[in-house]
Amino acid sequence: MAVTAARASGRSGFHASQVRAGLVFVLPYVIFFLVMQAGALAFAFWISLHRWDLLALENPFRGIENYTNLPENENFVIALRNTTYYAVVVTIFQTIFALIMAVLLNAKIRGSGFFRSTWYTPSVASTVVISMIFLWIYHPTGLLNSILGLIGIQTQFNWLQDTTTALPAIMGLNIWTTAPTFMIVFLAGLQDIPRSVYEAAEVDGAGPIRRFFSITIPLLRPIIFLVVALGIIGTFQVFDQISIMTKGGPLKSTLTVAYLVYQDVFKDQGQVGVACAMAFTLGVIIYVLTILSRRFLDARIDY
Amino acid sequence: MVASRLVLALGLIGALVLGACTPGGGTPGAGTTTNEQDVTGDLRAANWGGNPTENSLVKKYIDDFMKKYPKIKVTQEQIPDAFEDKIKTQMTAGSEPDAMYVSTNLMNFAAPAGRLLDLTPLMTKWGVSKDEYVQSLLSPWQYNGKQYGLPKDFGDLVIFYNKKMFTAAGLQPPKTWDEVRSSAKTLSKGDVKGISLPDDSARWNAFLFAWGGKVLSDDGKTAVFNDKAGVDSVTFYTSFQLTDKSSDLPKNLGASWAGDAFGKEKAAMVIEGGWLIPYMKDTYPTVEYSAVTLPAGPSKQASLLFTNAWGCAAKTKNPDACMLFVKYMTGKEVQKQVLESGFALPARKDLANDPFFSTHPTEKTLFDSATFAVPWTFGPHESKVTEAMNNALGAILLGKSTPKEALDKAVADANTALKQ
Repeated sequence: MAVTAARASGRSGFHASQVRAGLVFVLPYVIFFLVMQAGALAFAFWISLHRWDLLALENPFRGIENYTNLPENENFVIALRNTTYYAVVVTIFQTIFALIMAVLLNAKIRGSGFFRSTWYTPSVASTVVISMIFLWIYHPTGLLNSILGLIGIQTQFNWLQDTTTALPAIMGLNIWTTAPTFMIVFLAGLQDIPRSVYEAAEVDGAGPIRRFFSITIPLLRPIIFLVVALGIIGTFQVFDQISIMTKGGPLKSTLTVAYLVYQDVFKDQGQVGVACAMAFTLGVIIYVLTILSRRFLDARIDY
Repeated sequence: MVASRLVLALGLIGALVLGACTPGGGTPGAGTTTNEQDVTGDLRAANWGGNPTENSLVKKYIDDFMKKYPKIKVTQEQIPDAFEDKIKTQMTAGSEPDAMYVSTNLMNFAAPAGRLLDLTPLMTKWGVSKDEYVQSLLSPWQYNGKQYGLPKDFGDLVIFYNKKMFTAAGLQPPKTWDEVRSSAKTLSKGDVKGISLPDDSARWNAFLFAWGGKVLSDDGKTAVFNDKAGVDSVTFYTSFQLTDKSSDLPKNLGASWAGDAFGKEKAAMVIEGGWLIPYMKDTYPTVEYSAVTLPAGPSKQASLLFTNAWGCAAKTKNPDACMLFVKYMTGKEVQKQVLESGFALPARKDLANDPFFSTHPTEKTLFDSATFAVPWTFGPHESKVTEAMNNALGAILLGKSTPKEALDKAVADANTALKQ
């Protein structure tokens, strides 16, 4: 709105010298963008075409070999499988929980302000802090096992050291932290739906469940797309929680692509090129999935 | 108005650009003076800070060094976590410190890439002899016949045993592997295990070497730990848990690592190193324990040696000052304090008969084990090689594969990594 208004008021709004000063003021960001983002991206692609060592002075060119070898890279296949599993579960559950929480808060019940703040708290804390807290929750003598003890299940099970439970445990943490972020997004979306539509539906005799599925969900579709897209982008890049809680273990059951990229760059020798190829492949996967989810969710809405 | 804004913007950009620039590197070269006291220069020295006490000790050694060599100024740079990651990044950017802790991991990366200073000529110049150090501690820092670091301390593996539990069961400290095995069986009662052997190649490899096996071939290019010695030693190592039920993983004993299980008295024996001593003192001061050397295996007596060094960056502008610093930090004065601090064992031969050992028999056992211990380091792809071995141990202990299958798979994985 503001932009169109400014344009409508005509060019006379800016003097040439003001335009120049404006350009100079955005120049630092443009330089920053070119060097730190566009430049880094191009350089990473250049690296992915080489056998690159972090410290060596000469790095032989390999062409697309780093990419074509990826399907045979056992670690990459495992990491991609784990990451996909992780992304699918976390995205689905965090979207559902966020929507439920937003609908509850939107119901204008007493104390919704209080719940809005408390529910949002996990999203404010840093993932590192949350991960440390969950390390203690999942500890053999931690909170989770204590609660299980209270309901009669005595166990010292180590949730993060078992190949079947480690990844789901981290999924739980991630859902818990990010659902409230998207709850706020949904809440904003819900408040944008005109009351009149609901009133009309009520007059036509639609009950609350019918109204939810026939009005709320369709009208929220652009928001759902946004949440799913952001969820996919975020979960496919999961790193901090893995790095702090399991370091990809036990037996690679929590190895994700982002963590594997880090491992190959810093812990192994001469694998920076391979790691960059993995990172680019991951980027392409995320891009394609985002486009696909747009196809399914952001289709034109017909009333 | 407009002009002043333009100037301001340009000024800001100028400041950013200038601030981002790093001073260019000069050509390093040794000085002409041969008098230690005449050597001048500024040094940045980086150490990882395992814990606050160890860190303040390094600070003290540095202060003492500056008192002894007033013309050399040393700035300590403490890197609390991800030490190698940071140093490697700094080396790529050309901003690494002059002197630094060198782990075997960093050595394997940085020496072949020419990022570490060859100390050999400087050692001759400043009168440092290799003979001063425990022999087995020198090889990890050698590459192509050159010495890239000098050992600052070490740790090796021994068997720690719980005195009270041994006395209660009427057992003597074990001297052979058969005795270790039978003691472990006797001591396992309820949720207490006789021993806790983790799924960690940094423990099993001691067995592998004692059984006559090797991790890598002599040229370091292929993994060979799936031969008969490998299979036999891993079968023996895992039989405590799988056959005798006399061992369990620390995590299954409600412990974070084997030392923790030992402190909690959930395991009567553990195979650990000198780091267990200050840990027990701080966390479990009431538990009485002692240590014996690892018994000889079918082939020989072996233990694993974990060591770190002080080294210099190849691009340091003050190689003489840096060498004097390394000389001091690995010299008798500091090494005696290292020994007395109890964090690690000194790397010097001339401390072998230090009076400290007569009152500290556990430390003596650890120090003497160095004569037959093998440095635990496997070249540039070390992380993938050890990961493959750890995964094999995990798979065997979970009952997912037999020793032979697991080791064959691990050797294949390690060889894939070694070819890269």
